Amino acid sequence: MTKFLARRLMLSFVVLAGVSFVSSGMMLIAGDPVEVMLEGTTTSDADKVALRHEFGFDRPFLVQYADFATGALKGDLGRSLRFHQPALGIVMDRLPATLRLAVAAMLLAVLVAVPLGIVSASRPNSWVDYGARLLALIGQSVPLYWLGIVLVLLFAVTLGWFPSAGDLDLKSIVLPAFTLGLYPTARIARTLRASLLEVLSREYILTARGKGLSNLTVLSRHALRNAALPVLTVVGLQFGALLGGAVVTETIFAWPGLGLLSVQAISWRDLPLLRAIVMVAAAMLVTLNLATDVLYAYVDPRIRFS
Amino acid sequence: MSYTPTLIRGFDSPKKVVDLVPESPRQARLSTAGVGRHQFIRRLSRDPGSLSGVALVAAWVCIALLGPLWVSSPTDQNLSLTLLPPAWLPDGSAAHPLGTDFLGRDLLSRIVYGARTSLTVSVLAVAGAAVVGSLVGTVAAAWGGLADDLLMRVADVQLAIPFVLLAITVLVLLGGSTLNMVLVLVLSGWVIFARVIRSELLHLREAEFVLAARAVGVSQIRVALQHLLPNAMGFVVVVATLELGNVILLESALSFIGVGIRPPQVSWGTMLADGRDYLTSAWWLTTLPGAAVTAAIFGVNLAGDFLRDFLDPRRREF
Amino acid sequence: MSKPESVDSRLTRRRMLGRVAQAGVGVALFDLTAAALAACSSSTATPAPAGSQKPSGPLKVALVSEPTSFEPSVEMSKVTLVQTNTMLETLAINGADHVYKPWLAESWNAFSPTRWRLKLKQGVKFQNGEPFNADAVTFSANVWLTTKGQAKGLFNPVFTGAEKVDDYTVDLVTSGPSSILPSSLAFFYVFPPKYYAQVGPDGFGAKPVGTGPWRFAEWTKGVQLRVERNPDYWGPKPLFDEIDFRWAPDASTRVALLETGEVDLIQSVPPALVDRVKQSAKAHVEAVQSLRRIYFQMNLSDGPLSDVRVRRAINYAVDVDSIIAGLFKGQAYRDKGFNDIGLEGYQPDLKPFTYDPAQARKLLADAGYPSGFPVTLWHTVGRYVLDKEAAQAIADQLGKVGINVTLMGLESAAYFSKVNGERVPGINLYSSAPLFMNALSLGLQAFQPGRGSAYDANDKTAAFITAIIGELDAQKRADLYRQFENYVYNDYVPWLWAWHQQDVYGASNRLNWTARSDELMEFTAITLK
Repeated sequence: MTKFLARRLMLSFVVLAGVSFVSSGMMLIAGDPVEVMLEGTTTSDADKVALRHEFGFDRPFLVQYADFATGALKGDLGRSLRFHQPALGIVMDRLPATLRLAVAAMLLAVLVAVPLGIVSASRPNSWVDYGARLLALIGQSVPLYWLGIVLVLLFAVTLGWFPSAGDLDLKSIVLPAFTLGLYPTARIARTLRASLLEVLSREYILTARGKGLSNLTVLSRHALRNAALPVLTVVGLQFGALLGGAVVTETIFAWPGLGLLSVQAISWRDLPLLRAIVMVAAAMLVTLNLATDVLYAYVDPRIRFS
Repeated sequence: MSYTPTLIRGFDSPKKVVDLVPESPRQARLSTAGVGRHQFIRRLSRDPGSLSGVALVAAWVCIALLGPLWVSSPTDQNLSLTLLPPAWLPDGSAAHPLGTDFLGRDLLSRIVYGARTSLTVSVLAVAGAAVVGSLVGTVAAAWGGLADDLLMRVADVQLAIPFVLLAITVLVLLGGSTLNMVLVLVLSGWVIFARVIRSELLHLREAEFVLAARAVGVSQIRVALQHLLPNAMGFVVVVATLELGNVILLESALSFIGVGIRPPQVSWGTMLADGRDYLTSAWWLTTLPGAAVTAAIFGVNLAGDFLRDFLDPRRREF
Repeated sequence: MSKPESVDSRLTRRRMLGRVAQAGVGVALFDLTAAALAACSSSTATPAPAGSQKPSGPLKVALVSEPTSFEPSVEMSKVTLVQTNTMLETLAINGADHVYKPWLAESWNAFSPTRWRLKLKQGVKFQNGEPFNADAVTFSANVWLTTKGQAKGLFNPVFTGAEKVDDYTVDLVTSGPSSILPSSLAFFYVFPPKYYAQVGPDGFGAKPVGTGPWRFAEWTKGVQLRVERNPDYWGPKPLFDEIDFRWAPDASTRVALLETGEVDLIQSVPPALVDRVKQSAKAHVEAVQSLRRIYFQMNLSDGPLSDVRVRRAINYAVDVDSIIAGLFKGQAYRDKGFNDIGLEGYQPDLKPFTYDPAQARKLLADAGYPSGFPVTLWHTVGRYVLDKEAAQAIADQLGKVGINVTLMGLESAAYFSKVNGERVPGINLYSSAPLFMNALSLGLQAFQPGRGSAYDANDKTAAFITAIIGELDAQKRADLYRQFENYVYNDYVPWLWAWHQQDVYGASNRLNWTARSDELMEFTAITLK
């Protein structure tokens, strides 16, 4: 187990290093950072050269990268060109909003998907099952941006139940969470259904019942626990995908999180800020993957005792 | 939003819940399911859901291929007929069955041409991703060792970056041409093909018939080409169909954000972005293309599910 | 393990699962219903009862984008200034009629050809207690001359230094006669010397201090800016004790905020959403012809574009009126010349170009391009109202006379970096709203040699500009403006003339508020209905 963990940790670190290299590399094609800082105002060329030197933009790429990498290890992820402040601070300011949204979306997804999956699995091929599967498939096919706009139109503008944008009170999170959570809901429901069906058809369930164990015991001790594994994997993976979906959702709802910030950073050509966002997001994803792997390994005795 | 099929994850994590080592090439190809075209059609005709999915996909393909014969040009502007509602509404006109947009362009023809663009781009992207991914996966499985490690690490690095950000950045910096969009979409999809192929090949390598062939002296390359790859093809098709839905979604999302296909090319995503301001005043500008996108993805997903059930019940999710 | 048994177990399994499922569904439904009920029953902000004079809460405003700094020499975009103007004040002020008047400076006169003497208002204090006096003005002048922010170089053609004469008199020193100095005073923000020296531009930009009717309360990045009433303000007390600014880059989001009553004022309502605001029960539209104009300047070093006949042809080939009617739904105004109503030397009788594609083709043929030529059209995306859509319309119309347009659209930051930084070929969209209330603002931007934005500067335009700056006599100056405009509009024709946009704001029905044409929003004169 320890060897497994150590190996995974090292791999995670390698991945993060790779991400830092790629995101720094993107800055090569982004054009002159000094132009971005000045936003096209009239500055003499001599002043621009001086600024370039002051910020170290005239050094070769690998030197700048090495600088960034060593700084990153100490927690310095560069300076935002637009805000003239350390990028990490700006990212950390906006991170909680995105996290709240992602957690809310995931909670909602699980709350809805688990009962749905169970219902579907308990009555396979019935009308209820077909209905649930249809809903889930539609949920996986609806474009996120369309859903968000329609929800705003319906529940905020027409009915006035929820605010249409921003993050001011408790109600603000409902519509964005629903928008972001629909796709994971559908995925989790489908996975749970398939997983449950598979597990329930296995011989050891029949054996357990044959032994006289009560239904509840069967369900809790055997079926759900074994069915849970693939579902947990999907939950973990979906959480990572949520960060991508947050970009569109936050744009529509003016939700002050990392998704909105990243789109703005790109349109401002503030690549250092974008790089910091990517690093933080990657770090979170890698940690999440690691956690899922550990959980998985723990549950699977083949690994746990290796 | 890309995903990895359940349980196929990385270098070290356990592979599958159900481990079936095939015993013959035939079994490897078909698992325990049906045996070919006949069975395929029979099973399809018994399943109304999947049938409608396949029909939907076929319909969109027809529209994309033949539509331009029946509709006018999607770029004809008519500034005196802007924002015309669909024909069945009071101010509508039969000349523009689905209404016009803010520059007076016919919505029906734009949806048809949008289908062409979006579907072409998506199919090309998935094909490209399949080719690239399969190649990478085969190399990784066949050579193993350092090459395998390196390739899988590259995949991990890419997966660790939220793909939407990568895509938006690349498109913004390089421009939103059709070619760049296809390249970005190929980039988004190759990893899953690589992983699936690699996993399947590693799996099949242990199959008896392969070991038998090797024992007899068939070269590694011949084994790969004659036995392993064809067997893995089935899974490529399955994954491709599933990825197609995701790619259509991704393309329209990128166009929606504004980095996608630029005018005068027509794309569903761009139509949705342009029409967003007119959500209440000219709802048809978003609702109809949005319905088109949803229908296309839905059809592809439905058909893909059926294909997967048919070709590989081991990976059944439904 | 025989069949009957497994059937049995399946039945029981099903029942078991069913019960669990029902419980699960029940829980889920309960959660959702509870959330919905909670959402319904809680109240949204209640407006003040009709007829009362005191508003019950803060004024809430939704703007297009969040500033990065409230220091006006660092960030001077109009959106930011809307907020900065609640806290900071200037030496002069622009009236809604486009005429500038005294404000913190009570009077000024041209003491000598190189000195303007300003008399300052007495008894004014900064919000941190520092006095407003000549020291503050000389300090601020230095900030304007040495800033590294967006306003770098803005005041340098206006004056070269400031000298204190006595506590309430300051001389602004110029290198020669400077006729634009008085109008530039409307942009001359004053800073408290001690505080500014202490915190520097970055610190000031995060927490500004001025002499205005409101003072800085709190800036929660990404969420809102709060300003609260300045109790020591020297001028009339405004109605609202507090203003909350929030930012929603997305137009439909802003409109939705207005419709639900979450904000009282929004800016920048695009034509597509105007009807939605008009139909809303809680809000109405305030529209005004903007001083901002959109024009398409041409790079004259490009083969065909160097011929004035081709440039005229382009103006004849584009049917701007139909674009205004069909695309803008009438919510824009035809542009001509480069002066504006109320400004010096304005010529009301200039006529816009007629739409005449036949004439365009003839001119193109005369110039040697009977079958047209290819050209690139650069435009912003989402920065100005309907910019990219209008670019498509223009491209289509030019295509009809054989000019094949390739569209190159970029978002704001990237666009100006590129267009100002390099000389892009072809035609590029540009916009101007006078910063100082005279046509020289546009003149400097578009025709002053050495500026990245001035694609069409030449010796003649430079000469006109110098002459106008140096002419202190108002009559003669107005004459010069007229000559300059005639030269540009009739002889030179370096642009495709387009339109003035309409600035559309959304206002809550509980407010009486009027919009200004210079994109700044006034909050001191608001009253409740």
